[in-house]
Amino acid sequence: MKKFSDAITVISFFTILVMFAVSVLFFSGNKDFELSGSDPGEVRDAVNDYVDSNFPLSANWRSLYANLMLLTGRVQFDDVFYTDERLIRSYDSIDLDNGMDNADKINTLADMYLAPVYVMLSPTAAGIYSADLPEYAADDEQKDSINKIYMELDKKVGTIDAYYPLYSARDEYIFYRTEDLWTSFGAYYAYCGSVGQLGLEASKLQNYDQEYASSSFTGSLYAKAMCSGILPDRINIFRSKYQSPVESVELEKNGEVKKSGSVYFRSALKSGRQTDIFLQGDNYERVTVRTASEDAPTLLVIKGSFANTLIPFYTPHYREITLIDPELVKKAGKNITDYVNPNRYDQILVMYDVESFCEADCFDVLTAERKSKQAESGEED
Amino acid sequence: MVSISFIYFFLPVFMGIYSLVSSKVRKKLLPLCTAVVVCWAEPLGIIPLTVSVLSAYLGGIFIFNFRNKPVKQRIFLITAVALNTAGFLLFHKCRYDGSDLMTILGCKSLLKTAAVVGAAVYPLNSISYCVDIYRGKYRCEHHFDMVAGFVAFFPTFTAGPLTRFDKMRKCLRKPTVSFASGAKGIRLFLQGLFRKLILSNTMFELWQNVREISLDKLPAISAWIGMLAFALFVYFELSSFSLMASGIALLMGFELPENFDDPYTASSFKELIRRFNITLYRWNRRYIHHSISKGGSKTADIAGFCIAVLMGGFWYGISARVLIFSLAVLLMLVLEKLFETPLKKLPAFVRRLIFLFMFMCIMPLLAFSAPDESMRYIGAMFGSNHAAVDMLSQYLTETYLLFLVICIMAAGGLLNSAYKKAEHLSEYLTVIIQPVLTIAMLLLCTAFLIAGKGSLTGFLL
Repeated sequence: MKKFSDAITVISFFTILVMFAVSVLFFSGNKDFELSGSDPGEVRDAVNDYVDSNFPLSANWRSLYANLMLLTGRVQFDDVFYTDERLIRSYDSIDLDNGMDNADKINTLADMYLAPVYVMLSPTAAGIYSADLPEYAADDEQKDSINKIYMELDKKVGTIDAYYPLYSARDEYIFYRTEDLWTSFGAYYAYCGSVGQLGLEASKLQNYDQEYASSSFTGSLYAKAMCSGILPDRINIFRSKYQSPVESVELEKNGEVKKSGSVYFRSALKSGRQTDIFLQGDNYERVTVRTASEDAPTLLVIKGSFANTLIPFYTPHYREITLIDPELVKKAGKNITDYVNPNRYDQILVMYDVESFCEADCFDVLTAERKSKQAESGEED
Repeated sequence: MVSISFIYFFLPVFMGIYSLVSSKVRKKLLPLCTAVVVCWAEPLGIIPLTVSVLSAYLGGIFIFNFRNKPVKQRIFLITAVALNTAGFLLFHKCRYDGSDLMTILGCKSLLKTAAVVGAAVYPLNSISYCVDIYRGKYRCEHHFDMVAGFVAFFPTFTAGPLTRFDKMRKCLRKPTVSFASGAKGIRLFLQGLFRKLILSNTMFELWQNVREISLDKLPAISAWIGMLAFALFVYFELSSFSLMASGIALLMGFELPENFDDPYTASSFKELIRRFNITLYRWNRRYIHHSISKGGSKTADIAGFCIAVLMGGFWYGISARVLIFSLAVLLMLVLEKLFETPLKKLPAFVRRLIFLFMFMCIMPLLAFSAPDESMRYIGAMFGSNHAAVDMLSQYLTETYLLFLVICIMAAGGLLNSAYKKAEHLSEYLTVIIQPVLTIAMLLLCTAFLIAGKGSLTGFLL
């Protein structure tokens, strides 16, 4: 009997090992074998990487791990926190010094161009729901940080408050449960709070039809933490009950320009990042939206990822909205004037969430033009 | 050893070939596989390995053949020992803080990565083989594959257990595999894997959490929790690799000695060093302590003992931090000797508490690379920051309480004795339960291996 049991143990142990090994080798094609060099260390890393990423049932293993960890009382998975309702990403601390530097760059931007500059820093879910986080991770400082950055800005830079509109709507569905972004509702409240300061009047909620583009969206936070018990998200689009004013959308990346007729890109729903339905997410250096509102002003948006969801609400109020993603512009090795002439716009809006704003190190592309101009004038002198 | 490629690819392929071929081929397969494992981790590691194997094989033959000419014999012994010591000193690099001899001397480290597998193990095997032959314990072995198989026995390469040639000789001559030893080996291996992935890694994570806090703000409770976690981590890390080594060795038909005997249930430092990494203790006693004392005067005996303790420390990394820690252990041993009589009068329970308390007090010396940091940490443990509890200590206890309890139970030997009791309860039950438990453990470990962060490498050695 004992012999039999031992044989079963040995055979089943190795059977399982071989099954997984065979499955990695022949039945999973998520990731190809990539070899970056012939150095033995690189070969080893490449093999380990290949095996790790092709291991079968990866999602199931990770969710088993996460749920076991939840049982033991853990709520933190890397920088993602599990609360009863949602997953929240929380940084250890905001790099406020860098945020202040960025604010100075915005000041320079405002000096450089004629158009009035507005700054809108939104809180993230960690700021709004800080009470749900464990005390040591609670990000109570987001409001303070936003205020401090606003104080650093020159008087002629307009500041737009997004914290209170969102905070007072915190019981509604304003942030995705599984993604570090606001929903259309969140963006709508920010829109209502902001257009007044831009000199416009917000459209009422009754004027929109809700369209559910997706009801089973699980975002990057879920992919990181993998704990069950969090409901999947819905992505909804606010459609104006009247004719959509958008006439054309132009997207530019690496010098190539793509055209479309809508600010919504349904093809993204089939991709990994469903939130890219809004203006294709953060994939294009420049996006220009042209509308039928002939007499309306024009707007230049310096955008972080929160802006994608917000801009569709602005379309009825502007003739042209151009979004510039400074991070991608910097990656492409260019600066803002390679894409647009900021002087052509009636208003400039800097729209970021406070965390990305404080982390961003790409704002020099906004002020680069001035330096070259100075250099030119220097040469002329 | 704890990586997916090792467990899911190397192990089944190696064991498949190993169990199918005849025992003659098996003998040759063993050193060959060691070379593969060492090269896989760091190709440079093949150099000290070759030196150790050759010095053992040739040194053994020469030392044995010159047994009637003490001077020549001694020269060969010294050469072999010196070569292996050099290999150990140059290539043993500690993963915990990346320290090795070269960095201490202010030079550039020979190795880019801390990945020379086994540089702390095979020189010791080689030395023990040569010294034993010199002392006439056994005759030298003329079969190269057997000596190579002993010196380069890859299962033990991460953290022992160390063994002796005369104990391995029979197995080395004719390695046999069987289901009975295989099943036992798998159970041991999985037990080690469980300790590594679930206990040791979690304790390391907890320790890292505490370590991130600035030493000026660290409240006393957090400091104690952190040190407890670190102490448990050190134990589980080493014992897990030892268990895995014994498991794989059993799969291959080799029985290795036990390496840990619940060291944290000891009641004195003297007991601790005997129960913590037993085989290393024996090695040190046999080859350092006895070589120096030679059964001579008392001072030689004490000097030999002190040097053995310090050298034993270096096995855990050649760095100032280890040296200071070893000195502290030595100091504790001296204090224990001085207060031997009053301590003996105390009940065992109290002695155990005193020991644990003192042990935790000197543990920070091992944890920090900079001595002033460890002193400040010890200060924080005694409330120099005027704070006992804070939010973080609360969070740490909430999050890790279950793991701490499991770890303390495992370190206290409770888990093992409970399992053994259950085994005795009903034989039929265990016959059915054991395979199921094995598979469950394998699946659980796989989940931790895939999802757990940074679980792929050893952190200490």
